[in-house]
Amino acid sequence: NQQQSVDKSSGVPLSDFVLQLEDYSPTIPDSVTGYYLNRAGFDACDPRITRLISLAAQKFISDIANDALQHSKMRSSGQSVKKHGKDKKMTLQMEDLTPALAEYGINVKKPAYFV
Amino acid sequence: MTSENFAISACPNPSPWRRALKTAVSALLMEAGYQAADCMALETLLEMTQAYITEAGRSSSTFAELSGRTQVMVSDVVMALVEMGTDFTAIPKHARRENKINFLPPVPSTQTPVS
Repeated sequence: NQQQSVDKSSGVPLSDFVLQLEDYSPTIPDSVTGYYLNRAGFDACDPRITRLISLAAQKFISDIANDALQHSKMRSSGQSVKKHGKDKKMTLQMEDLTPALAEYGINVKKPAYFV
Repeated sequence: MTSENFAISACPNPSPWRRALKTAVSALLMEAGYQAADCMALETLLEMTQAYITEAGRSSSTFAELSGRTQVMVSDVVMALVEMGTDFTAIPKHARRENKINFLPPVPSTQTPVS
């Protein structure tokens, strides 16, 4: 019985959640996700499925951005004595993005010809 | 603060979908707490979002075809995304986050549906 309730709690909310996507607009527009899905041979006829993929992609990018932000905060806290880091704008830089992506197993290298 | 503060692409003429995706990724970075982004870091994230959506589409349509269908169902998308390492328990929370930015407000259609 305990096992059954665990299975229920992991299965039911997702299908409920997909139904809630009927009137939801993700940050990545449906048409953009739909275009890239169509390019991959995916016939996106149900907007809820498109929105689910948009949300997953958003979550992926948000997590990476948060990790990069933590990296830049750690990096700037070491040198806050000589620099006033408070009034500086937070800028996403490759030196923060590279270690954040390395945690996801993604190795980014700057091409030698790229200036 | 608007997305215009983000660096404009060095690429002279990106596709309209790529430009829309860039705005979406910039909005996600602003939600994370960034005010600016280096062109190369932003383009890296953009390329990764494109690859993520394309891979999700390719993988989920392959799962649908494995089950003998051409129509992709939610379960195929879930299988594909789990295979890609998505944590589904975190997605509803991400969808209901407080500081969500919507940059393309849905416009009510003026067309009458053809019955």
